[in-house]
Amino acid sequence: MRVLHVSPTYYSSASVIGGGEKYPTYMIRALGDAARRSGVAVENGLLAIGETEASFKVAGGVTCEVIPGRPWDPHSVALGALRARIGEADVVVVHQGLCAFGLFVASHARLAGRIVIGMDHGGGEHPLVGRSTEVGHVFDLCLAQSQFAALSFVDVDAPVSVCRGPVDTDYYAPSREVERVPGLVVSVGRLLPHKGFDRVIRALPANLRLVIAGNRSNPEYFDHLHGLIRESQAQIAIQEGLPDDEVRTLMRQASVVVHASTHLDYRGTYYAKPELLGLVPLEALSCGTPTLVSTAGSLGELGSVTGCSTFSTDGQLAELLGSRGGSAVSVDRADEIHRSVASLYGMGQFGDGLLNVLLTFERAR
Amino acid sequence: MRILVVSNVFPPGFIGGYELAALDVARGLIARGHEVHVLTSDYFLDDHGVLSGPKVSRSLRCASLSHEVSSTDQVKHLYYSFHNVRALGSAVRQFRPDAVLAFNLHGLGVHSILQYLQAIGMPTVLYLMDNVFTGLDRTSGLHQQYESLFGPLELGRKTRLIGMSENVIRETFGVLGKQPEDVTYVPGWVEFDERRPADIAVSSSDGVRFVFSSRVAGHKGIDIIVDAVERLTCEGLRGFTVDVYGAGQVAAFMQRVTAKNLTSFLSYKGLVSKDEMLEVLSRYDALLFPTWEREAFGFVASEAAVAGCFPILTAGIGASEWFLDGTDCFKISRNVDGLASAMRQVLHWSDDERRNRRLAAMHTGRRSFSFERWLPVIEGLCLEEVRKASPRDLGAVTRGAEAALLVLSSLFNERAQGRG
Repeated sequence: MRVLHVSPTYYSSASVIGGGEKYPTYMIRALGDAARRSGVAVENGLLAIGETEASFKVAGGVTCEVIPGRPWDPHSVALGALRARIGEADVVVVHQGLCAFGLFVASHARLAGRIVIGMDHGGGEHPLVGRSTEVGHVFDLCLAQSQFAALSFVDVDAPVSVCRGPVDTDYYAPSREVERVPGLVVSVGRLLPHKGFDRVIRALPANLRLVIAGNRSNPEYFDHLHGLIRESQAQIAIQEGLPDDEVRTLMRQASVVVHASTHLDYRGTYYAKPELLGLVPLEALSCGTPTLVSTAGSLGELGSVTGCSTFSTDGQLAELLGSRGGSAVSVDRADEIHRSVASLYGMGQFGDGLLNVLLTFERAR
Repeated sequence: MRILVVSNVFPPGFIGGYELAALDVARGLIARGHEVHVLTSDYFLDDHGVLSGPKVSRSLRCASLSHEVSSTDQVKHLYYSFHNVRALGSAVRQFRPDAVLAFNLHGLGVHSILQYLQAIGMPTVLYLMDNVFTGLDRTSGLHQQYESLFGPLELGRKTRLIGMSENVIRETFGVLGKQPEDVTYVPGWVEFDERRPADIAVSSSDGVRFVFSSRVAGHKGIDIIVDAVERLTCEGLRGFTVDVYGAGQVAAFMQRVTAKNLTSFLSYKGLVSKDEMLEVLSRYDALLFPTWEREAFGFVASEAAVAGCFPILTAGIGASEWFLDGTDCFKISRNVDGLASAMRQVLHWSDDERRNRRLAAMHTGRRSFSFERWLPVIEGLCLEEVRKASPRDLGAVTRGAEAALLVLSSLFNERAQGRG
């Protein structure tokens, strides 16, 4: 079975470093591992859009092929190349499947008679979604990474299946070699208003230290954060451009990781889908680090993972930081947290579930 | 087989031979035991059940029958029509055909229809009696926008082609910018009693009788005929008449004949039904058919030949591919000189020569254009495609393909309207 994953952007500084871009790489690896375990031949490929044609390795050793075009603009995509790749596949997984680009790719995959799986990573919806449920017929299945993500497909007429995760629990694992730093609070993510870093700064007790690891994606928000940092009594630093290994080290060192995404940002702007899975908190938990997540989007669902606590308000966050931010987690507890993530959101359970879904479709054909 | 015939227009209203041929084939297939349903547009009035033969649905929308389209909407309809995709999908789900036999798709959104049929894996035979892509301009911005979303304009890898002539295939593939491949040629046909002996009675007492039977319009050569008759009369030639049959710009024609003082030579005789055509043509010595060079075939040429009416036709048109110049027809340059010269030769034939030439045309016609000979070829191609098809869930595949084309149409409209 040849599975082609198509995403408008890819996980690279040349494109976008974000959860929506990292997700396909996890998915590819999870499916590949599950196929090997089950003795099923699965060939995975990742296709994205970029300025020029290219092929290179992205996170997790996954090869990404880039065809020319502007990432979110269907009119600009090299359609001949896209159709040729679709023609070689049995299954096409369309990431950001509800936006114009995603629907465009899904439509060509549907016309080519392929099994079409749609996913949403928060890339927005084309106006047809919500206006015509029929649009869902371009998908054989909509795959959601969380119960909250499944809501994205309520307005389209297509079957929806939830496969929780995945997160790379091999790479993100507790380390005996990295020492925990009591009082170190870490937040990770693109510096965007809906990620709620401002909430963490405001709620941070003065006796704790905060490191925010992320790249500035919104200059106005970046300035806003710096304003808050200047006013804060606590020690706070923003570290940009960290490679994945260093981000992981920070997660391993932290007493607690906070992910404070919000539906309503500091300016009052509403975000319908601030999180559809929550890769950062899952990666932190997988490192064995206690994690505090808001209840925005899918994050509340992570409350079932050992070591994860949820908060709704900034006051609750301040209380949680006050009670848990100062002490480092024990090695045993870290292992326990890690096992919980692996069992609920790990690559194994996700890959097996996905493989099962794909085989069901293939048999039906 | 259950066969869905698709055509932009369908009798009782008609423009020319294409839709009449669709009716012939539909009736012929029914006579051979197949179930035939016709899907066409409401361009002409419903027949209210008068038309015998196939069941006809007129739920398609035909944006234009003209080869010259002006409005952006009409141009867009040359490419796609989501309404028609939807209507076709509905017809496929209700009728559940084994195959689609498509005739003239011009004005229906030809590309979207072919793309849809291909996507749902429907065995499809497209009978090209005209360039159904006419009006498309591969150099236009609209065309490029279209191709960037829908993909290149093509006849569809799984669409089996019948060409009425090399002429129409050449023009069609010229528009697409591609080389033709795997085309089966089926010419225009005539239904006639093959048992009837091939004979012709010629009498010099009536003079030479020419006939024109087609659309009375410039592109069919009616003005060239008037001018050629004027030329011959100016040369002092007498002893001939030209009778004109057909609809179109009749008033303009008759006014011109009057203005040129040619009423003793040129007469308008009204309309003749298809059933009467052979009998009418058999009364004439020669057919005048100086039609435009892009004529895909010209059914009247085959009818004339079968009736023993010697065809004088524009060189290179589809029908001319089946005749031998100077033996069973005259192939002329499409101008007054060319036509007048051919008419002059006929006027100088002896009675015997006239009879022999007409008999030669009749033999060619009976040999080449028998409906009984060609219908099984069309039927066989449909059967062949049906045998190659894989089983599929028509409900699911049609809905999926419709949704896909809905998305692409929507993106295309957004761009055309300056959004997106």
